[in-house]
Amino acid sequence: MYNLIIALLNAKKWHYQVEKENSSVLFGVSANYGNIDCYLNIDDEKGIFSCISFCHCFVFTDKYTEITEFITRANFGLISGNFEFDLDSGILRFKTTFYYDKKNEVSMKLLEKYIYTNLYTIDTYTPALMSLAYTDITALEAVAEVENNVRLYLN
Amino acid sequence: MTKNPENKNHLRNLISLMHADGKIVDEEKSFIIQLGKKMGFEQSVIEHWIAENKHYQYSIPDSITRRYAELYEMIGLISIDGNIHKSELKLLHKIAGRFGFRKEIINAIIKGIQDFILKGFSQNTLDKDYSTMFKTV
Repeated sequence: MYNLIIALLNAKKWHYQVEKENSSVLFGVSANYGNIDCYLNIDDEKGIFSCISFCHCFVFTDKYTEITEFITRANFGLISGNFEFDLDSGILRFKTTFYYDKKNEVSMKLLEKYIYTNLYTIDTYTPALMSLAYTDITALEAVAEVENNVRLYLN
Repeated sequence: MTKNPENKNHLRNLISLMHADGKIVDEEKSFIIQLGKKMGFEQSVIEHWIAENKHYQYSIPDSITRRYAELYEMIGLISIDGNIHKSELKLLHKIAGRFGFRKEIINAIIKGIQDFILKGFSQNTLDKDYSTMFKTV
């Protein structure tokens, strides 16, 4: 799986950093609404792949309740992955995971699909997250702005 | 960067915002001209837009997320040369305020852009659109 990840990043010609040989790679992409940092981690023993991405959204403590509601609303109905918010550190991220089998690994095309879906999801919600974090709109209004956007045709 | 209609609109919006407090100070004018040049416009054209601004009606986007997208783009444009001047920062704070954002958003975005460049990821871009496939009904 690790070799497949490296092969995919090389094929995309994306710059990346190996955080831990054979198990963790960091890369970033410039997306529509900001830059996204993304960690691709594998636990080869357990056969677990995870893709964890971060937008540069600092959450003030007075916004914790609103952000928590936003995430609950945004997570509902997501096909793949979920937002997570750490109430202790204020870290906000989007995580996609799947199990893999060493004998029957996923194809590069499918791996790309998981990673891109992760990146596009966090990118699409970024304007709403930033607006929620830095203005007085409510979580309900912020989610509605994303999900009513014509760019997003929901399956 | 090309002088496309969106860039023209952004620039004219900025000019209008600067006019909103009644006067344009020299450093603001200089900033607009520099930004316009980065977008590919001639200085004489930009100066003409500044002069005729009274005829241009600007309205802040209704959508708060659209405002964020515009603000992000402005900061991205300003950060292109790697230097953000004090006057540019001041104007960005002013725009953020008019858009209804806390001023802290400016530093958060700038820091994000600078960190990203330092990590060497600025050339990595998304080349496919999976935005239609992430949520069920």
